[in-house]
Amino acid sequence: MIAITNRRRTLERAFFLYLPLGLALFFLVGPFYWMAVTALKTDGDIYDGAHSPLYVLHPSLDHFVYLFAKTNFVTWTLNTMAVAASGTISSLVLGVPAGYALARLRFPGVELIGTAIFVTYLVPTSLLFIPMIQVMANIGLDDSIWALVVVYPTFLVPFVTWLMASYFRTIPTELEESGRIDGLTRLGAMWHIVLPLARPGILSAGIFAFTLSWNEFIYALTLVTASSERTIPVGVIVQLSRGDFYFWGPLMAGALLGSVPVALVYYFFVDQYASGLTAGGVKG
Amino acid sequence: MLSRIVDNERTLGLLLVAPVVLLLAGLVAYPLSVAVYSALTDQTLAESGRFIGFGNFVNVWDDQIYRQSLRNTLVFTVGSVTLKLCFGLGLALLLNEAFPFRRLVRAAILLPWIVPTVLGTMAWLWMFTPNFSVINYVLAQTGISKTGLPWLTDPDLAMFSVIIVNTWRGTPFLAISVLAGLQAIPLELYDAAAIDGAGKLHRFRYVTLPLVMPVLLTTLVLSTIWTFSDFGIVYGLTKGGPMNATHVLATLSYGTALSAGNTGEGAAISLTMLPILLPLIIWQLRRVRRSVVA
Amino acid sequence: METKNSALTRRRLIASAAAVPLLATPAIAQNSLKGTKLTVLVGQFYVPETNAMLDQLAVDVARDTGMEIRIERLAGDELGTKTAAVVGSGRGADLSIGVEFDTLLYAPKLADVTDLAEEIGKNYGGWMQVAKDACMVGGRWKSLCLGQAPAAWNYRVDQFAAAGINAFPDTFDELLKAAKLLHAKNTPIGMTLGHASGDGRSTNYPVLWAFGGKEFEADGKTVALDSPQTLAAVEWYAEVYKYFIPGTTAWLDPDNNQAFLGGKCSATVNVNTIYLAARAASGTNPAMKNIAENMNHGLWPRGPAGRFASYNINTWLPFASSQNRPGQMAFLRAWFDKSFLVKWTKTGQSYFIPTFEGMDSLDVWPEDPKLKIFKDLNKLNRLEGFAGPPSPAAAEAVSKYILVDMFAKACTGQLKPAEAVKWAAREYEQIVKKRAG
Repeated sequence: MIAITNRRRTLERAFFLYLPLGLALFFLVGPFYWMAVTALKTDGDIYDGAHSPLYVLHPSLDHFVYLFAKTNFVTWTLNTMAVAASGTISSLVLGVPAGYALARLRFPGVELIGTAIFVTYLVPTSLLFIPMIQVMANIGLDDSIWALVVVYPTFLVPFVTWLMASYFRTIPTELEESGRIDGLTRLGAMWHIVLPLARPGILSAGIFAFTLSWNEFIYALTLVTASSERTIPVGVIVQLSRGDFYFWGPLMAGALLGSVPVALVYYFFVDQYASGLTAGGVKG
Repeated sequence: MLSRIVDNERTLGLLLVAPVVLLLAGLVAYPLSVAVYSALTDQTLAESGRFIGFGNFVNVWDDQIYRQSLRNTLVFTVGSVTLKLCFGLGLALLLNEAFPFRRLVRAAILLPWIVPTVLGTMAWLWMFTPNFSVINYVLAQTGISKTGLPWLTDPDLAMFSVIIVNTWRGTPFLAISVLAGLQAIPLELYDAAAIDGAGKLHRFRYVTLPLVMPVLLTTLVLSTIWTFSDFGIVYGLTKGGPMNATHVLATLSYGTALSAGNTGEGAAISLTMLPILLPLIIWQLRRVRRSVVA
Repeated sequence: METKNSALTRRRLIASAAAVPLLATPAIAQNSLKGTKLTVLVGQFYVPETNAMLDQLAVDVARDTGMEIRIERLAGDELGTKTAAVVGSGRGADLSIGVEFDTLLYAPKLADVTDLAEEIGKNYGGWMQVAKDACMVGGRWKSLCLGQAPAAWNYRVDQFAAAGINAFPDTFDELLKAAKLLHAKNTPIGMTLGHASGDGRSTNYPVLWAFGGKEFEADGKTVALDSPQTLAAVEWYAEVYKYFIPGTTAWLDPDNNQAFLGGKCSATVNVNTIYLAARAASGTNPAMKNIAENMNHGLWPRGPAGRFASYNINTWLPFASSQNRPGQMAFLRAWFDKSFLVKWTKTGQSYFIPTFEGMDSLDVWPEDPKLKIFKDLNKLNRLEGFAGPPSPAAAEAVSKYILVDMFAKACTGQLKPAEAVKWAAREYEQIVKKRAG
């Protein structure tokens, strides 16, 4: 009896969990295999039609060495990390409380303010970047990476505010109300009851904000001129196209180095969801 | 005394949103109004131009390329967002289960979202590229299609290809957001539903879905906005070709404003996205606040 | 030895320049450049040594003048975006490298360099017409032409011979016949029909012109596209497309290089980077050696109206917003000084060729026999917008890929040739109409 149930369970899991999960992984992560294969090939082998392109015949680290030795890749990485980290922290500090207010509190003009915050998000960067250069020049930040530190929150904050507003809505108001009955102020209830429960939301909003700044292209290209102050996406594209050629090897090496380390960092965060919730008495 | 004032709902609300409003008013208000105003002028990159009212909007509406781009943008957005919703929601439910290496898998599926768009798009270009496509190599080797498929060459398939790349890139965001929402659902609710004899589907429909709905809707709205104004994927893969089959408003606006230098008209093209997106946002805000008002 | 000499000449030149009153500004002593700053945006030239020479020039000028010079290199389309940002905001750079229509589009934001242009032109036997077209607005020089990158037919001599073709076709009929023969041998030719910002132009406008088609009348305002000549060009294209390598409607700028170097394509239109890449890799890569040895360059065929070509042009854009006009002038003088430019051009292997009438007599031409043809190609260029002068309308048509798409629509059968011409003519009318209104 038990054996049959177990087998049925295994089959069920194989069919409804592992198969779709496998397919999803293939679609989402498969291209990274191709990036790795390309990055590890020699230039000659990349176009070699005589062998299967799916594996590496003569593995070589040349393209990675090229990135480190011939470009400012290390500097670009440090720049990108600094800008993304500062953008994430400031947008969380500003956006989380604002999201709480939008989701939970009644005050005059709330709807107008909420809409206005989001409208700024609707106008594409390609329209804003030229006047933004002038704004940065007026506050003395043109042609400096500090401009990005200041500008990135302008698109991260609306994003975090809105995402957090919706997370706060998933948390039952009863918990907060019982805290208020126990004598907590509104701010105290937010801090001691709501924020711990919203931890998965805050973590994912942080992860997304970090990644949005990590990827940003137009401001990073136009607000900064010096090659020593570039970020990874701009640096790699701007330095690795020459004439009318694709430099697949270094490009793919840059794509890998520009993503896998961040994924490793996220590795330590993604399961914080569960632990954060267990601490709050709810299991994930 | 101070704490009493701060405890007032109105004061606290205003206090909490004030920094955000100040930041946006200080930095974005000016560029935003410059951009909106320029849509009403025949401004170029080099000349400030004169006020022409809705002239740009009339002109672009007359242009077959604009109409085609608008149509493409809608197809691209609806197609990508639908796929992202299905994949993202499904993936979130899967990732919420317990299985070995779950943490690793959760981090790995974020990769397409992490890799800089320009570089991720280059990887897909390299997979789709005519004459050297690795996908076509696999199709030929497995005997599925001897000649492979014209991924970026055929107008319809090219649209499909850019949708696939956008879906690849955006699914992790949806999946992880919804996963974070799922984690907040108290297990007691499921237990209660189980006691009531609800099946899996029933529990999904009546417990899971309503509770993740706010998160799901917000991520959908965000995803829709990004997709609607997505520039990098189309620009990287096709530059709007072949024959404008994948031209979207973002790429058309960019070409008009920066390659041809008609910044006024380029701004007008971008702003025609607003009437489509604005109602979506207002509706969304009302939903998020419904519990407060009720 | 040589470097020392050229440094000397340059120092002399700059010293003498300082004695003469500089353009828009009153007399500036050389010393006054000391402590000033100059930011120069440049692209990546294909031949690596030419980038290094530019960097060295900046070092030399900085040393001679005491001016601090920053060379910021941005490849590809990003240079265009960054330049547009400087034009729009007046911030970020003093000089930049632009493309053919940039001078026209950005003229109000560019400094007048007429005196310097005339002085430089004299040294080289005068500027070519195409340089004047690209750099003069309203009779004044608003930029200085850096050079043009001639596009040639790149073809595989061995594959042509195997198909029974012993010389590169000289007429469009012959080219069509060759395409058929090569297709039958499974070594097809191909030209881009996709939205490729460089190759899209260089491979499509010459066909239109050779058949006698034109976008505008000489007034530059009357659309003249819908003509029997244009139709003939489109019909020829639709026919030859049947024998193309698959995929050309999706080709961006690098795709033809990739197809040719990958041995998939027997002929295409491109600058000489395909050959230079194959030649450079010959030592280590037998496949590249084979291609370099078996390929050559050919002229565009002659059509009923003649032989034409369309190239990428680069110009030095001096921003009017610059706080350092004398610095701009000093740098440009040094660039166009013969001691630098001749050597730079020769090192560049005819990838970029300055646009002066007197180029033929200078020692700038590469020794490699397969690159000889670029001397002739250098004279064929014509700017888009023909038969009118360069105009914002022509620039907009380029940015919308209207001509490319006209051919592509007819080739793929999306529209019949006559309908494709009508479609394109309507787009042109639209562009002109909105400017008139």
